[in-house]
Amino acid sequence: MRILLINFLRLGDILMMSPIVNALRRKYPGAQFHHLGFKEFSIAEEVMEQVDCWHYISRKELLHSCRDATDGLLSPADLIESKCRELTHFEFDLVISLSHTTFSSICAGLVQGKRTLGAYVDGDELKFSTSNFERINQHESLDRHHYLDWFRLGLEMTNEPVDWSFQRIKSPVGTDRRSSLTDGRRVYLIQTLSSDEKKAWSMERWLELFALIRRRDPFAEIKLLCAPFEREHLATLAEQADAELLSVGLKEAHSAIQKADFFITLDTSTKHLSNDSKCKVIELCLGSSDHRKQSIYRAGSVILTPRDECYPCSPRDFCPKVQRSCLKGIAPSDVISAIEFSEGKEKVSFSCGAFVTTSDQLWACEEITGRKGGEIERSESGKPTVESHSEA
Amino acid sequence: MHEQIRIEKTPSGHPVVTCEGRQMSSFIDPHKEAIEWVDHYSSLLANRKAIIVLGVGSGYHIEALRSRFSGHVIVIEKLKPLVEHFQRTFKELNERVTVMSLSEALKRISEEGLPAPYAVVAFAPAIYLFKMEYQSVFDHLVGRTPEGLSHQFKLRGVGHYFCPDTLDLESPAESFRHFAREQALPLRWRNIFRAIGEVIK
Repeated sequence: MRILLINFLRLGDILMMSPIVNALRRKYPGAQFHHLGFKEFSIAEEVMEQVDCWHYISRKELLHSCRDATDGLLSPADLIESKCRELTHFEFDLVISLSHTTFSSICAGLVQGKRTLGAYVDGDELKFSTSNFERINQHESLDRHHYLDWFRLGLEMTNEPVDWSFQRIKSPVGTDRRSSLTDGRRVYLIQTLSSDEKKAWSMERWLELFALIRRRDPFAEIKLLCAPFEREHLATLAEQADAELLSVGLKEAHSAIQKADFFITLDTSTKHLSNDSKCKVIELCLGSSDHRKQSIYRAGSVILTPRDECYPCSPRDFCPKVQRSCLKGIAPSDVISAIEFSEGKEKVSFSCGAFVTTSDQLWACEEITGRKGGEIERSESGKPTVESHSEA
Repeated sequence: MHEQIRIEKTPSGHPVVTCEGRQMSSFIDPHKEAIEWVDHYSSLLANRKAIIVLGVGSGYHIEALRSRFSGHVIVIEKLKPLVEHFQRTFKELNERVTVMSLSEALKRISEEGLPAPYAVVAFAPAIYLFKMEYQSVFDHLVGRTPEGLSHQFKLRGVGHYFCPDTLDLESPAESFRHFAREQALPLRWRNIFRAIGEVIK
C-alpha cells in the first residue's frame, strides 16, 4: 500500500502533523509513506523518519520561473504538471491533503490517487472527504480547535492517541539521562530567534531573562539554540549572556531538547519537536502567533501571551505601531514565574496572559491565575481569535 | 567551409571558431569559459527535462552543459558549417545532443514534441549576427508573444487556443489568472494555473 501526504505549508506545520503520520502508520502497518511539499522545507526530512520518500516542488523555482524570461511562460505550469504526473505513476492507494490550502487541494486532485482524504479539487469542484473538513472550510470549527486537531477531527482520528514520536521506533524519551541527573546543573535551552520578525522578543529582554535565571539558579547552564545560518547573528548575545551557542540542524536540536530541563521558545518549528520530550516547555506567543491554533500541544506546557488588544494580529499585516506593544506584553519576570509554575510552585503571578496546556483527546489550555491547594485556578480568556488558518 | 567562418587553435591546441571576425569562444581557455557559462544557468538544471541552447559557437559550452545536465540537450544553429564542425570536433556528443537548424527547428519541435519543463538559453556570441531570426524562435519557444503562446499550448496538446488581445503577456501573474478562467483550456491546466495564482498572489 502506498500513501501520499501533501503539505504545502511551512516547516512547523509539517512537523506539527507528525502525530497524524504516526496514527496512519499504526492503522496501515507496512504501508509506504510519501510526502509532497515545498523544497524550501526539506529539512523536515532530518527528523521525520516516519516518512519513507520525500517529493518536492520548489516554491522559489516556481516564482523564479514565473518571471524569468529564459523560461517559457508555461514553465511553472510544467513544473507542477510534471511532478503531479510523476506521482500519479506511483498509483497511490491514499492521498491525504494535510494543508487546507487551494494549492494543496489542487495538487491532491491532480495526483489522482485511488482515494483522497481532506480537501481536494475534483474537476472544477472542491470536495471534502468528510463533513468535518467541510465544516473547517466554512470556518465553523476554526475558533475552537488547534490546527492539528482540525486534521485529527477531519480524518476522524480523535480516538487515536496523539503520539509525537519522530522516530519510526518510539524514542526512549522517558529514559533519557538529562544533565540535571548527571551533574546537578539544570539546562535551560532557549530559542531566541523567530523567522517572523513580528513574533520576536527584544535582545534586552532576553538578556534580562538570562540574568534572572542566573540569580535564582547560579549554576544554570544556558544554551541558545539556533540554526547554523543564525550563528553570527546570535554570537554577541551568547557572549554577553555567557551562554553556549548551539547552532545545529533539526536532528541535533531534537536531541538537545530531549536532554534539556527547560525549553523556552518563541513560536518556532522546534517547539513541535519538544512535544517528543520530557523537558518543561515555556512558549512565548507574540505578534501573529495565536496560541489557541498553533502553540505547543503537549499537556503541562506553559504558554505566555501579551494582553494587548491587537494580539494576535494577522500575519499578513504590518504592525502600525512605532514599537510593537506586544514586545513589552511579556516581561522576563513572567518567564521566571512560568519556570516556577512548571516546577510546581504554589503561588505564581503573571503580568501577561499565562496558560497551561491540558490537552488530552484534543488540545486544550487553562488560564493560570494562581494555585489554590494544588489546583489551577481557571478563568476564561476573552481574547479575540483569528478566523482562518493564519499562515496558509 | 563558409567563407566567413575560420577555425583557429588556442595555445593548447584546441580548435576555436570565428565568424565574420567575431570570436565564438575564448581563444585562451574555452573550457573554463564554458564552465562559467553553465554555472550562470545552474539554477535551471535541477528540475528541467530539456535545455534548448540557441547557438553552437565553438561547442565548448554544449560540452560543459552536457557534462552537468542529465536531461535532453537541444542545440539550434543557423550556420550549417558550424554544426558540421561541432559534430566533427565533439564526436562523443553526437548521440547525446540533438542539433537542429534554425530554419527547421520549430517545425521539428512541433512534430517531435519537447519534454517539459524546459528552458531556453541563448549563447550570446553565436546568435549576435542573426539576432532577429533567433529572437523569433526564442519567442515561440518561451511563449511570451501571442503567437508563441499559441504554439506552446499546441505543443501541450491544446490546439484551439487563440491568445486574446486583452491578455497582458508582460504580466505573468495576470496571465496565469487569465488562464485559470480560460474556458478553452482543459480543466487540468486551468487548475494548475489556479494553483500558480495562489503561489504568486
